[in-house]
Amino acid sequence: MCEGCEEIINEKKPVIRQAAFKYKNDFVGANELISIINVKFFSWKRKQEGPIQVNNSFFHKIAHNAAIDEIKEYEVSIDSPDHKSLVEKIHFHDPSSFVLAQRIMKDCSPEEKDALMSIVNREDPEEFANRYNINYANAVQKRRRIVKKIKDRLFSKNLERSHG
Amino acid sequence: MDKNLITLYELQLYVKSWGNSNNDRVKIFLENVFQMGISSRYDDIFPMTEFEYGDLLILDQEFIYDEYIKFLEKNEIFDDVLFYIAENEYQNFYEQIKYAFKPLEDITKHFKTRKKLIEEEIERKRQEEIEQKKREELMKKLREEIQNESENEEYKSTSFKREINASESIEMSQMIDLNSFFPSGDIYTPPETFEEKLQRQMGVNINKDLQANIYARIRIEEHLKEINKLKSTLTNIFSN
Repeated sequence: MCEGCEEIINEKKPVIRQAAFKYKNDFVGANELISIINVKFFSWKRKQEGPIQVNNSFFHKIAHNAAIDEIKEYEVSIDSPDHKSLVEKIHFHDPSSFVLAQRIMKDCSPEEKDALMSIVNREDPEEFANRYNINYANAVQKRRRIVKKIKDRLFSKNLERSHG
Repeated sequence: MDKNLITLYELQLYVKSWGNSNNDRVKIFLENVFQMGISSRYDDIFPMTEFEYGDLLILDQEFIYDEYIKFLEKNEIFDDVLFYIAENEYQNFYEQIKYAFKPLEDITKHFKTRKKLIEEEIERKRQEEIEQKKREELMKKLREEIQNESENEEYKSTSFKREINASESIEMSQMIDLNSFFPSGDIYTPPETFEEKLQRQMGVNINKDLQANIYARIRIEEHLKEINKLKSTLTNIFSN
């Protein structure tokens, strides 16, 4: 395997999975998007010289482009067995957690999914606000509303109120 | 707020009837309470002419909290502020809460009912009278002793004055020493407070009384619980 791939992919595993889940649709499934993201990353990395740095938006961008391009068929054959086993590790294998993620994000728009991921990843609301060109208070409101939406659908029966 | 807006009976009736008494003045009163710490202060509301915050806190909290949730649905900006605190500033908020208010249940213990306050006042006066009697007896004894040792007392008084003068001069010198810690010319800018940060980011002013608003405190805890539950569930799904 080429140098650094394993470290980067393992480190970015949650980001890659989140990006795939955020943009998966009726045409491209989550695991398929995970493969595409990885292939694109390997291909991009091969062209780089010297130490590389890759931010989270890189993976989101690939997932976004792959998901909206429903006509073009992606070449997802993976060049080496090492890379193949690495991509396998990133795929969703546990059906129960996959179904739970689907239930949580059911009926959520990409923006709502992004708000949710933003909370999970402890991202500053400022960064979320900048992405959507809204102010800080609006960003907080969108985050609160998505938590409420999911809570109303899934967790309200399980959560106990902490009355004093 | 008008301290005569409602009577304790009206409040009790409204809560006991789960809002069916349909008293608009009680609704206005509760809305004022719900805003405590954000757009109103404790002193703006309590004490009411007939009752205290403690009288409200002992009523059906679940019903009043449901009313609070309805209030937040109509005033989303308030809920946004509470969500913001839970998500981003919980540690800072919790640190500045007075020790007596840190556990939620202690808020109810801290704010007493009017009846309890009256009982405590009667007891305080009784204790004061006992103390007064003791003081008078002591003074009587002292006067007798002073009369017996008048010359000795004059000497003591002079010595006492000398001690006061000495301690004052020590205090003055300490003040001068303290002043030397502040560099001349530089203006000290204190760090941004939690309230200032919230004002800058959310555009909403909050005040210290938010810590005593039990409904807001419960809501913050609820937001915190939901955020943490979502975080742990999704982190599990995407990381393992």
